[in-house]
Amino acid sequence: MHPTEAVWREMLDGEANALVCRELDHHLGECAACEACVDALVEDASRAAASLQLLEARVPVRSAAAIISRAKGRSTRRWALLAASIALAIVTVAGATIRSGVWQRLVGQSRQHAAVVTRPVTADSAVHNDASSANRIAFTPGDRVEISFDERQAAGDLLILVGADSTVTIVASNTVRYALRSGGVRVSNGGSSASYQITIPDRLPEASIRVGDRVVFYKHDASVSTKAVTDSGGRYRIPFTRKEAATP
Amino acid sequence: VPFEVAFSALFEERFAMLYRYLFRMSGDAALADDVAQESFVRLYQRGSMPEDPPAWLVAVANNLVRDERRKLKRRAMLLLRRGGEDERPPVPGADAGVLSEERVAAVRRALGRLSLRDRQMLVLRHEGYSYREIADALGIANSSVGTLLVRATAAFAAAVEGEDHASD
Repeated sequence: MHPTEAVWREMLDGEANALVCRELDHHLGECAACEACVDALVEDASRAAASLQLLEARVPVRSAAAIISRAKGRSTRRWALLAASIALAIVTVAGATIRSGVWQRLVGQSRQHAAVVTRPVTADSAVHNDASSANRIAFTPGDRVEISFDERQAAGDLLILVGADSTVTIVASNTVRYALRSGGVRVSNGGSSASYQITIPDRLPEASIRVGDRVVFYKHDASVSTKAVTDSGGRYRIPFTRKEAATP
Repeated sequence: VPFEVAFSALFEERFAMLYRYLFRMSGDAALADDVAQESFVRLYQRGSMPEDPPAWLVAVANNLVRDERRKLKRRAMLLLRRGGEDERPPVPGADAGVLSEERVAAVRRALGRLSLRDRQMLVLRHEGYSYREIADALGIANSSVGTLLVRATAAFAAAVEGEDHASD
């Protein structure tokens, strides 16, 4: 039985083991057909090698050290990129948080243009701003509250309702500036001609409304002192133009 | 043996072989240089020696060449659509000062007629890679290498002869 071309090729390429090589050598000495086959294989291999040799290239000089340095540099860059990415993510998150706070402040400030509200200095009042209403303020009072209008107006009314609400609410027909402070709220109404509907909780022990230096409304427990009369809705109506002031 | 020492020894032993294999396969000295270096960079980044380092390097290099070919193909198609020409400089002959460029081109054409696997086997064997390394690098059975090499060699020899007749 004749060995295959592949077996002869393995022998020629030095891939066959020593024992197989001895047997093949022995067979080759006795088999003309296999000798011709091996000759053809050698010729093909020689021609192929000679042709491939034409494609010989000058190998550039490179060093292992340069490759290692390149690999390490890339690794360092990768870590630097990773670190930069993490830092960017942190900055983005922090920035978003800060922006959110800044944004809220800006929104608050923009609302203050419509109805500026300063949080109370003390905790005796909790602010409940109606975000949809630029001319409205509502807050939970302590034991007493003073609503103070900076000055008399040329026009407009105060409509005061003592009701079952738990919050003090002021709704203005036009935009004015409010400033919550300990024990009450200051209304900067200079130059305004707005009317104001004020709701005061009936359970509130003490409440007063001042226009300029005059007290125009005063409530102590269930007792109310004012020169105003109530309308059909039970609201005390005080025109800003009235000069009278209630005296507690 | 520390990895870095083994890596350096492997580089000294195998860089030239890998470069020559890549150059014969691609005919592009710059590409062969880049890919050979990149293959070793990736081996270093691996941090440990694979089971068969030379075969691993060839496999990585083959993948890199394939990726590069795809990029070039896309680029060529893009240039074609835009009516331009590929700006890549022509590949220089292996040794233009001594050998006829036509002869080299004929050999390249003959090589190009073979299948990719036959080309790879032939060139790897010519470069001195063992059967086991060729089998590992190309993902074929060790026992098939001899048979496939015989066919590839015969096909290449015939293709070269065909080129010779064509030039006559």
